[in-house]
Amino acid sequence: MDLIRVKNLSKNYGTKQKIPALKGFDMTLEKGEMVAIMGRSGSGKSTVLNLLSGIDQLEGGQYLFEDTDMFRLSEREMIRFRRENIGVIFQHFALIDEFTVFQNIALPLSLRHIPSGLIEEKVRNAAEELGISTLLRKYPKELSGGEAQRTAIARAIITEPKLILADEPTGALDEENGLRIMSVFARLHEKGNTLVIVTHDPQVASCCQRTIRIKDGRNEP
Amino acid sequence: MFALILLELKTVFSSHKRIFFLSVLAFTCACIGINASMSGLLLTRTQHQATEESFGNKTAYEITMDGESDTYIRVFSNENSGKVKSLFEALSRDPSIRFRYSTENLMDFFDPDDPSYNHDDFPRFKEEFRIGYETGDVVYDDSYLTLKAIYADKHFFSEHGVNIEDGRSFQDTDYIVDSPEGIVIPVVLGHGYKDLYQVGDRIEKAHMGTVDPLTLEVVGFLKEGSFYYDNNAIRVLLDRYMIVPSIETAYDGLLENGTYDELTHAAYDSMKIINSRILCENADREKVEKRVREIFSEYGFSELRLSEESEGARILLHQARENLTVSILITSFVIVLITIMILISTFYRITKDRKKYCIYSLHGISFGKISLLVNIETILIFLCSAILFFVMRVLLSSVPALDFGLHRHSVISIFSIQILLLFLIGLYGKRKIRKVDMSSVLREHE
Ligand SMILES: Nc1ncnc2c1ncn2[C@@H]1O[C@H](COP(=O)(O)OP(=O)(O)O)[C@@H](O)[C@H]1O
Ligand SMILES: [Mg+2]
Repeated sequence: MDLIRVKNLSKNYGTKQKIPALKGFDMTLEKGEMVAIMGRSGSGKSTVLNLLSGIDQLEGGQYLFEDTDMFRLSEREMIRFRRENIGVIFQHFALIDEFTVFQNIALPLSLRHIPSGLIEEKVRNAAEELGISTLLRKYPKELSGGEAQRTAIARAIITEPKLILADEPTGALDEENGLRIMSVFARLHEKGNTLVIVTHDPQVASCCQRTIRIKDGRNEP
Repeated sequence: MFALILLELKTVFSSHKRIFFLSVLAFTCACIGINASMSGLLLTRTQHQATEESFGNKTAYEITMDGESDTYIRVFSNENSGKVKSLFEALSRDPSIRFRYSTENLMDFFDPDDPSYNHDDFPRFKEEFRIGYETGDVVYDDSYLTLKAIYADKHFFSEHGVNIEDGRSFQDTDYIVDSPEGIVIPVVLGHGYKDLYQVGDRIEKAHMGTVDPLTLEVVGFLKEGSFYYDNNAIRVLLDRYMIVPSIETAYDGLLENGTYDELTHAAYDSMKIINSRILCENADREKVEKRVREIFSEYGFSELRLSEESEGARILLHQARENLTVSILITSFVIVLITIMILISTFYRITKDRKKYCIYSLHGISFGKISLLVNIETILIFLCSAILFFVMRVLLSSVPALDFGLHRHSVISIFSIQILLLFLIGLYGKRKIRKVDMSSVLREHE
């Protein structure tokens, strides 16, 4: 069954002079798939992810998530949708510097009415899975790039979202760490997670089941 | 959410304690300013009301005197008491003049040298003394015990709408003393003395001015909260006052040496003339002024002058208004400054920590809640400064010089201003966060 169905997605930036970032992009994604989006820098990859996660406002086209027409959601509903369905991972980790690794990972849970004991358990399990159990008291500044990215992944999966979006997750890492992150993604995929990974690295794309190519804001055949 | 609030507060204390405490101090000062303006506003309003109620469109005159204290002593000397009595009677009986002479003074109870002084009476007087002066200035001396008293004329109760709760008010005969022997003067006590006296109780060895000891008899009590407007149009609460009839003497008080007896002298005391007021409708001013001057010269008091008094109260009111304007201006300025200050700090926090707030939003925290987190420090500052303000108020209330009164209205306005400001920065914060370009911030690498 399709998890998302996107048709003819378009997006412009800039207020006075409109700069087109997407000019009609299609994709479908089945539940449990692990898909790479590849393209040159500036081709619109991040824009696609930001529209899928609702970080950017939708502009033109169609976007169905399961049975929900995402174009119909209000700002508030979109935020709620994101909270319940999507985990996002960024190239530069997007961790909160004042928070410890533990607090960063626990952040998505802090808004739900979950007892602190259960939060602790969930964070420990996620940390265990990603091999960062010993780092929970550290601050992001004290982490290596690979450790920081694993923290970010732990945070993204802690709520067991239906869709995980990663924007160049290995872009800031050396090759060895990049490979470790990819093996983490592979494991998540094996466990049944649905993942979309944006990259311009063919090696990363080769780890995925299928690759969607994008060029100048359009699908490249 | 609570966990996030705690984390946010922890950040405040770990990164800028000092600024936090300074802000609390600044806001406390603002509370004091608001309180001062509020009190000023209320005071001016009361004063305005009092001026309107006691003068309205009437003119009030007081009697003043040319010359210095030697003139005063000569005019009101004991030898002159007979003349003063005639003047007083002429003024109070002339149908074309409204002559009023209720005055506020102290009633003395003393003194240790008096052999008939009964020390057993002292505790009760002492108690009167203590509770009689909860507010206001008093000179305390072991040998003097004084009670606040109003020497009321016949119009006191009716003109000021002062009502009796228990017992009776004064009758015409209460104002007249027929004989210098065995004088018992009826008094009405304020509601505050109800637990000390009952109707029929006698108070021995009281002194009106320098008169020999006389006996007072409690004939009634005033209703709680009774008040009247004094000669300066100031509202006087009567709960801790004793109302004494401003007596006249109906016997011949002239002694062999040509002076008058103490009671006659006290009854036609200068106070009665100097503190009196002559009231008239604005239209009748010229007529009344002329008549009073006639009476002055008829009874040989060419030194006495009539001067308009209602002007004084109006000038006082005008000054109060000006002071109030200044204090309101200063307070408004402070409030505007504070508004700008907290808007800037909200702006600054969102700019500085925009990554954090974008991450919050990324994880599904609504803009409203983020705005709350942004402004949690300001909320805490408001809370602390309000608490500090009330604590200061409680601590300083024991030091009379530093005691700043606190009115219910001040509390209400401080809280409403705080809530309004919080609402404002809440909205501002929400707007500002919504405008942040999340996708670029989250992609940033510092
Ligand atoms: N917030 C933005 N404001 C203006 N232009 C943007 C913004 N984000 C992206 N763009 C433009 O949109 C195009 C696509 O950008 P992006 O999706 O980031 O590409 P990629 O992630 O593939 O490198 C680029 O030309 C970029 O300059
Ligand atoms: Mg990109």
